[in-house]
Amino acid sequence: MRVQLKKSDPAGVRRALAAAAAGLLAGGPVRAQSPQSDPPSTTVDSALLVYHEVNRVQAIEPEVNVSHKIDDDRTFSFGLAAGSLTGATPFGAVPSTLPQTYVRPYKVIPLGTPVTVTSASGGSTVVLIPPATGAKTRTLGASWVVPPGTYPLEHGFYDRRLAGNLGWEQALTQWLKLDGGVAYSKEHDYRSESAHVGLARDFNGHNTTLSAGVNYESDLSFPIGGTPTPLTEMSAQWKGPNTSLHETDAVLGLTQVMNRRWLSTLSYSFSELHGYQTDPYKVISVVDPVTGQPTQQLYENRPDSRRKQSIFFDNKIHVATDVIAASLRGYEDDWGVKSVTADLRYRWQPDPDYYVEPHLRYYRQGAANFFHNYLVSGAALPEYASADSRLAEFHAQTYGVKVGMPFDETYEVYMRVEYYDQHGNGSPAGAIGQLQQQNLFPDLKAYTLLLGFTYAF
Amino acid sequence: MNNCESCSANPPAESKARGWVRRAGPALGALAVAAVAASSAGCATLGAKPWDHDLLAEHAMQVDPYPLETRVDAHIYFSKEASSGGRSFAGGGCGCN
Amino acid sequence: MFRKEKTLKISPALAATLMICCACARATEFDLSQYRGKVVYLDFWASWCGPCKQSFPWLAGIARSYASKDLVVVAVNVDKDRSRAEQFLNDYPAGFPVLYDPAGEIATAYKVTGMPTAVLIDRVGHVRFQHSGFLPKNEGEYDEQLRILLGESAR
Repeated sequence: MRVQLKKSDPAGVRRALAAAAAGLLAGGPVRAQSPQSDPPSTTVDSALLVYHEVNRVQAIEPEVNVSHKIDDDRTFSFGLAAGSLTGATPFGAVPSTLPQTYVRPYKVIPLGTPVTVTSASGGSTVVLIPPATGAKTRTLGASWVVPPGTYPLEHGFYDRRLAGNLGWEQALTQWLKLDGGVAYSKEHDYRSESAHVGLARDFNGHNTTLSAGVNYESDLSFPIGGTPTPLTEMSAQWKGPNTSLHETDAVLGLTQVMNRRWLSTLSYSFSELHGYQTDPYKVISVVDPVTGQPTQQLYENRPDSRRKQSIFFDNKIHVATDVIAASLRGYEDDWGVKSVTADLRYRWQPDPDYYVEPHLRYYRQGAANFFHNYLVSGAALPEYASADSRLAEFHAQTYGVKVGMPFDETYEVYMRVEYYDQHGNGSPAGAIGQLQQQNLFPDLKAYTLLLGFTYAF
Repeated sequence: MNNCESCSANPPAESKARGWVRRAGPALGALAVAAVAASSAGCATLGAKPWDHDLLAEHAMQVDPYPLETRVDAHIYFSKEASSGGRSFAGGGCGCN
Repeated sequence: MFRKEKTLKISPALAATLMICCACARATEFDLSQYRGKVVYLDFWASWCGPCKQSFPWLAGIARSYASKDLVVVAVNVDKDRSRAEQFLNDYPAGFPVLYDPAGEIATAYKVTGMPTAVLIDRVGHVRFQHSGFLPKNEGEYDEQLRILLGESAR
């Protein structure tokens, strides 16, 4: 066995050896001094999301994440996100050829307090609810009217969110890495706390990585107006107590370097949720079996257990100076929802200083098995029912483009503009009476702008 | 089922325990086979030599190069769609140390 | 990243082969024979290798400190793009010879299993230590290995 180079570039090797023999540096003066700067140990990622649904909600969300290498083995990170959401949103009621009036709880005030305000947010009218006998407080409701032929929306919708997370990553050996973290999120009617831990093991000279992670989340819901009793009539009465939800997730991942230009990841995830999963603000309409006119609005009801599974296949492929990111996700749960997501990005980067990345995402989901556009008066009530379009059958496309300017490994600035279009079946077969002329799926069109700035030092 | 005028019964009966195991079986099997294959010598042909990890070291070739963007997107789609995706983020990169 | 030291003791057969190759004057073969009698620290590095940014100042330091004791540091670059390597050398000056191995032939010959890789060759031309990865916290151990080899005489 001779350790022998190919004869393909004898001249080049001779040159290299000659340089070595002469003790010369190949490039740069002979100068034994410390480098200009140590490699960066801290990275600050910041982003601002501006989200705008046409005629619906708008949101602004700034986010920041700081990651710091304590030493070669350990990295600490923390992140903060804030969000402000306002606007109008569908709440499950079907449109009608007649004007419809809806009511929700608005405020609880001590009995005897003069009521001076007549209108609540979003153009709704304050309604006085007769207090219960012996009660020390009274409820104010907010009622609003939706004109005929309009898709019913609940206006004055607002939410403010603050979230934080802490993370830790530690190399246990040259091949084994441990990571963990906690997260907390608070909205004005919802609180979520979670913790996760994961392990990643490298094989085959870091070409293969097997990873496993678990996450546990505990949520508390305290809706404005309280938690309604499921499938009871929509009213301004103050409802029931807070509810909770517990979720456990597990993820198994396999990342494989396929060749010098192609990295592939396959992961399987499993989630179990137990607790309150109904949307306390959403209703389902009960309609007349002949005319299709709404006769009642009932609060929706979803099962208190849910099992989700998904398989995710992601690829990064280096082509010339560009990178293709292509992924596929299959999802299903025991609520009957099945979905497929295909995501494609092409990062065109002819120059190290900038890139342009068009983005295409296609999503298709089937309805949950307790989803109904409406219920029919006279038929027995099902145990679970929801008219929330997020549980309906629909497809959605995202078209976007991202432009970025990286600079060395020090900082990067980017801007991403996207358009999201969600479309479902607004005219299902078998629609009754006036519902035949209505659009029963509240189409969603949204524009997003994401501005990002990363700085490493 | 989109709508169901005379829907009185519960959703179609399907053995939940058997159902999800049956559906997860092929997926788990595929992952298990892939894991065994990956860690055995048979998979030594897949991969790149340690000195050929130049492109894999690039930022855009990482499994999750823009985690903040990933988190923002996950939040948006979770609010508007019924699915939630669990992806793993380990692996790839320059393979150094 | 924590790393367990891996010291590779070369079998006599392989050592003999390397010696034969080192004695070879053919230009197509990587020739260490000119360093016979000195201790050679062969370092495989690349511009895209993060830990290499930490190893270079240390290498420059030992090249300086132990030159009088007959230490030669030779850095083998495996970048496919020479300009990237040169840019790295501007930011992290070497102070020792650099060889270019874009096709990875020398890396293959030394069975490099990770980046960076250090191959420590004694005065007689045997590979005595080989470790992949560079950790500043292990600089003491790397130093110790050098002192062992430098303390030996060229038999």
